[in-house]
Amino acid sequence: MLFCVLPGTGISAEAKGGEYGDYIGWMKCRSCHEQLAAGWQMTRHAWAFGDLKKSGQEGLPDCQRCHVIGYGEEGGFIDSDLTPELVNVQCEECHGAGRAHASDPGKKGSIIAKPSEQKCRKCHTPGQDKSFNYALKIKGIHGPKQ
Amino acid sequence: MWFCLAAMMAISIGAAAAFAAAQLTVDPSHYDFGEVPEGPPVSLTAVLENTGDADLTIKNVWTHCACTDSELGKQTLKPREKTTLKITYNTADRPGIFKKDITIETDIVGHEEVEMEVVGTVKEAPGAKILVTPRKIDAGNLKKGSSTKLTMDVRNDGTLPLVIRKITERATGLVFYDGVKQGDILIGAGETRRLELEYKTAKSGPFTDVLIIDSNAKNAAKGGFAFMVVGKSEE
Repeated sequence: MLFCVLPGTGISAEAKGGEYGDYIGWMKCRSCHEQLAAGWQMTRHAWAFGDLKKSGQEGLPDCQRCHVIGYGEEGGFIDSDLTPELVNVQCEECHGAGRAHASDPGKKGSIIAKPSEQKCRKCHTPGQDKSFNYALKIKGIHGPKQ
Repeated sequence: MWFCLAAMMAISIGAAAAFAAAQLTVDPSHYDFGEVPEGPPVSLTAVLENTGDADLTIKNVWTHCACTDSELGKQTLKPREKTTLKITYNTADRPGIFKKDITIETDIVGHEEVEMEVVGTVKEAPGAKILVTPRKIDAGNLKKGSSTKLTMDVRNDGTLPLVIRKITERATGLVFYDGVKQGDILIGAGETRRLELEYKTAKSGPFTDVLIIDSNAKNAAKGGFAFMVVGKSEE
């Protein structure tokens, strides 16, 4: 690719949104994992971005990282204009980017089956949730009915 | 007579014992920091008191946000006993209004969660702020090997000059503009500059490229400010 900056006059049309990268969003996961997705929708993770909006901080990159999926990763959340389908703490934040798994569900290693506590600890810090109990929290991660 | 009085006293003592309950009072339960500068953290020390008549245990303090820390003095409180809860909000890179709920989880049956709230406004530190229009540029249908011109407006919405140092594609790391070789692009505070890009792709079929602008903009994510180029490359 060649890319250079020149003084110019033209105006580009707004491009249509589209999928990019390895993150596919929870609606794609739902097509096979309907029950899990329905349960997840009942959790706070499912409206984590709305929570951020409520406090007026949805535009702050440092806050976004805990309320979206794949922040700072290739194919992950960029911002709510470019990647609105990746807001909220969805399936792929714990299980990893899902495109490879969605294309070939039988392929071993294409998805993280058992996410580690370390993943949660990125946002659930001791200051934020002093008594965070991974073993207990993981039981409710897909909602009350599992 | 004496028997009746003794029986009544016994009943009232029993009832009191049966209704003994802990109660948590938080002071203040709502606090407005007002306007604070961006950078240094701000703190509030609230007083928690057990205003009931049974022991209580604070099982957890949950701030709902990694930007807000809590520090609890004591977990178990006897009746009339007090402790402190220090709440710290980290203002760095968080300009604008904030409203943070804090949930105090207790063992009081029926009142397991006691809420408090801190609010305020972080006054933005001086800096450059980048705004790119459009965020998704449609390159249209491209013949493989040929190029097309793309135009975008870059606005500096901040209070200090915006310096664009580099433009790269995120997936490949390819450098498309290098300020070291070509000179940094400077955009004054409140100014907009139209940039025209000569764009060419070696890819085939539909493509979505994420390009990253490396600058001094304080509203950009850590890796830089992103915009997209989409299109279709044909043989």
